[in-house]
Amino acid sequence: MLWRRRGSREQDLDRELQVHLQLEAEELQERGVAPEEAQYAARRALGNVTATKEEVRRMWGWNTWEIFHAEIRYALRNIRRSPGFATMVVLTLMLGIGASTVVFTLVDTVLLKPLTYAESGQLAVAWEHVRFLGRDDAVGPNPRHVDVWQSRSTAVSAFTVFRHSQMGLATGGDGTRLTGVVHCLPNLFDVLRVRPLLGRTFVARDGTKGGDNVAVLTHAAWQHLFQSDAGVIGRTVRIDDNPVQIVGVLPADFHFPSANTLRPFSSRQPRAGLPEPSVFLPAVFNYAEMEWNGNYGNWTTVGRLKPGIRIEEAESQLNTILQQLSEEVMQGSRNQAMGALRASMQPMQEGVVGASGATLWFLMAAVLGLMLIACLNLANAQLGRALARGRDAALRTALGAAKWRLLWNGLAENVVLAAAGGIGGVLVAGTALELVRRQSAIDLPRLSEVRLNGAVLLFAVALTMMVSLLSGLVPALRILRADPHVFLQGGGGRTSFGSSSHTRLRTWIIGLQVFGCTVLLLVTGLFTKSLLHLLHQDKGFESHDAAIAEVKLPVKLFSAPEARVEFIDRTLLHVRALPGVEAAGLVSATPLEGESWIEPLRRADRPEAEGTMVNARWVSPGYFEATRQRLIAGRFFEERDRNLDSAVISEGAAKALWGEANPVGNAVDVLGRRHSVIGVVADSRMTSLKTAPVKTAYVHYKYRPPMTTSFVVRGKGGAEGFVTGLRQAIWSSAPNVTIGRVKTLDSQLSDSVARERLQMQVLVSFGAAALLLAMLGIYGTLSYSVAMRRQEIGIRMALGASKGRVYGQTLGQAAVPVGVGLVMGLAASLVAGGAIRSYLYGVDGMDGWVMVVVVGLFLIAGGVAAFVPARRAASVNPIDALRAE
Amino acid sequence: MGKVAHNNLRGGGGGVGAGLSGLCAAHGRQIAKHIQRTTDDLLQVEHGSLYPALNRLERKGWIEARWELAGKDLIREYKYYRLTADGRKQLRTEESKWKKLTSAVARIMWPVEES
Repeated sequence: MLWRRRGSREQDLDRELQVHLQLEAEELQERGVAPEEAQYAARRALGNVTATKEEVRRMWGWNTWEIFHAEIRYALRNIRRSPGFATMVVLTLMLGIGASTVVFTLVDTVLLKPLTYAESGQLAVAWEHVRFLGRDDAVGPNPRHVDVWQSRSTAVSAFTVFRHSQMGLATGGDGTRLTGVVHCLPNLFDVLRVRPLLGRTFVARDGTKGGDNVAVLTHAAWQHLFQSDAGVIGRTVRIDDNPVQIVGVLPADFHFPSANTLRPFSSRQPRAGLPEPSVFLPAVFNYAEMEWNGNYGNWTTVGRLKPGIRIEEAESQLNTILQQLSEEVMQGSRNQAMGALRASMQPMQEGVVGASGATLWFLMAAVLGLMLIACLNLANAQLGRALARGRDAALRTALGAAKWRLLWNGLAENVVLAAAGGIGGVLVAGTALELVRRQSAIDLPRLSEVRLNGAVLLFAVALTMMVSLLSGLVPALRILRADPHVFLQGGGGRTSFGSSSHTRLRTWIIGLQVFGCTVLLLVTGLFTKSLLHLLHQDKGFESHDAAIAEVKLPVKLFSAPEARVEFIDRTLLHVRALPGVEAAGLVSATPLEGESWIEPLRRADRPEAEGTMVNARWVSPGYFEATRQRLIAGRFFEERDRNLDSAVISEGAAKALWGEANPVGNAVDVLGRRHSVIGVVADSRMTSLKTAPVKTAYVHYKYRPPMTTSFVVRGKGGAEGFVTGLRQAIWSSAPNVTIGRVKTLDSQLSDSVARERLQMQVLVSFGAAALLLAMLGIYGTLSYSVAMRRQEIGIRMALGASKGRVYGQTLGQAAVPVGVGLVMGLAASLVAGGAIRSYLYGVDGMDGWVMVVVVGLFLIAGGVAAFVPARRAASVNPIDALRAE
Repeated sequence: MGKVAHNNLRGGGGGVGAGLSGLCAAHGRQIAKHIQRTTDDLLQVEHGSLYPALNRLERKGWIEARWELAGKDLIREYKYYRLTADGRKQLRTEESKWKKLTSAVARIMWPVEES
């Protein structure tokens, strides 16, 4: 429509001017001027027709758009002429915008955005510091202490207590699925100030025995399990085989911390692949029956501070109350000290973020480093391009082009490239974020809240575009200042312009790139070595060809220990009958998931001594054979131990109690029972790869057959092979149990270092990208310089310079900035290494090997990048080079 | 002199408007000729700059244009411009401004001798 209107107006003007010319010519002819001459005279009288048209058009207001249009077309033409440059810029922008958007989005969502609860700044997590294994661990407080805090504290309006777990949920239609469950005090939603979307949240009555068979669903669970059916309220589901009535559905914007965040006992490892919390059940607390001095580290406590109260005030009040409590309660008890030494509070946001804050800041630093290198590369490429275009610009200036038009030319090209890169970057960021969100092994808190963030995206786009524009404009301005005369005479700025100041600037840009790249690569090297150390250190067990299966027994059917023992025995029989299975056993805690069930272990002959704290594990015969833990003395469990009181203790526990003496044949007291030590097993990192081996006591499973058991199975020819068989064997033994996870021990191992692996992978990809960019920079600058100095090289060679000298000279041009960059990078990475030392395992902040590898890598990469242009320089034929003038 | 006319036209098209006021309807060339003739060739419009000026006046709604058959045998269409009511009003205000300005200039250049 607009175009048509403009077209007709254009025709109209054309016609009017044509009429004018005709009239003028006719008049002149009448006066006796020759027809042809009359035409010319008329044209002269009218003046510049095109200028007239342009002026009229400008008044139509179309001009700006038209210039823009023409400019974009011109830019596209230019870009098409140098596809290599365009691809480089667009790819760089794409990666830059994509990577930084993903990381900024994660940082923004996880670290910066407040939690999605009303007045979330008032929410604080309370911890107790407990005399525990001689450490000052912050653990979830004893709920009985919380109850006292609740009644006496004037700083906190309300406390709530909750605990994550995973339970089997059946809606009736299909099978049981493992679901994330949160047991909480009924006031949880009041403290968080969350209103239900449907139905109600919990009321006080829900927290009493008999009234507790109600559940509140998250929005996601409601969608997945009930297809957003509004009639879900009042329906019954079975959770761990208990009927539970759904009373409410939470709104879509409600996000609850996942099971790995706010862990009440931080020595428990975060577990990979846990289901998101989707069902809330009321917890029934009978405070009168609870112990005063125990139950630490089982529940997480969140309190809402009264308005205007600072967290420090609340904390000191909690400590005062704890002190009172210790005096009141512990006085009568037999010489036993209160376990809780003090209380502390931290903002809930901080608690949720926890250790992943550091990971994210690493990512942020790495992405900023990469961005810096990418931007430098862009600047470098633009500089080179601006120089190459210098002659074109000079020619156009000489022909009278307006200087602002020239500037705008450069700008338009950048706008087109930046737009392409920006769109690509958005696509990259969107895809990457989706991948990150699905990757539950990454285990970042608040991952469910992560969305592509418009503001962050805009920031990244603006940043990259700005860099691109600036790096395009600065050299363009320099060209404008240059005298076109010099340019044209110099035959394209070959001598005066190309080789001196600009090339120097470009070489220093390379130096900076090398510097940034070195730091990035060195940090990458340290993290890689740390991860390799974690995976290849002496673990004390063998993960190859072994699989684990975690089974949860429904409480109702298996409340009797005999039923559980019977199930375990039957299942082990089935499993051992599977083809290829060499050994199978049972353990009460899934391997590599941190410490749990910490108990004192004492020598039976010294009951009054303090003893040592150990992780208690209930295991079956076959367990040690399946994990291939090493026997140091005595024997492992055998079938006959069913009728004996036997225990196996770890090397560390044996040393702590008996020193160098052999404990086999002696007796220990653990969990209120006396066991004779039948064997000593070598220390292992069965709880976590990242900590030193923990002292452990293993007792026969008949004493406390676990409700959640882990079968460990070792077989020939790859553990993947019998994973399916394992599942069937368990179900054939009892169809109504919930199988939590069946996986190879190797994948459990690698999941337990998922965060370290992610860090390393991100760093490696960033480091590789940075190295590539630096190589491109070196290559681009050197080949440009060689092309510009072709004549000079020709003359040198004609005067007798050898090929070797030409090689040396070209390589030498790159050597100085690369060398300086490397040295500076090494120096800076010493500082960086010191900063990250506490996140490294088995590697120091300064590692000679890593340095050697990085420097070697750099020399090779730089050499390759410089060699190609150098060879081009050396193969210059002096005759050709001179004739070209 | 032609230069002066040119600048004047650029400024507001006042000259063209004044030129039109003398005619009831005219096409571009007639207007140019008219200005040239009535000013005794003092203001020579560079014909090219006339059309942008006409366009500007048209956009402001002071003149309107229509293609009409005219001339010998009515074989050719010309684009005829006419003053609109708005244009007439504008012309009157411009006219009085001009009168003030010229009389002011005149008073400066040839002051009335004080007695």
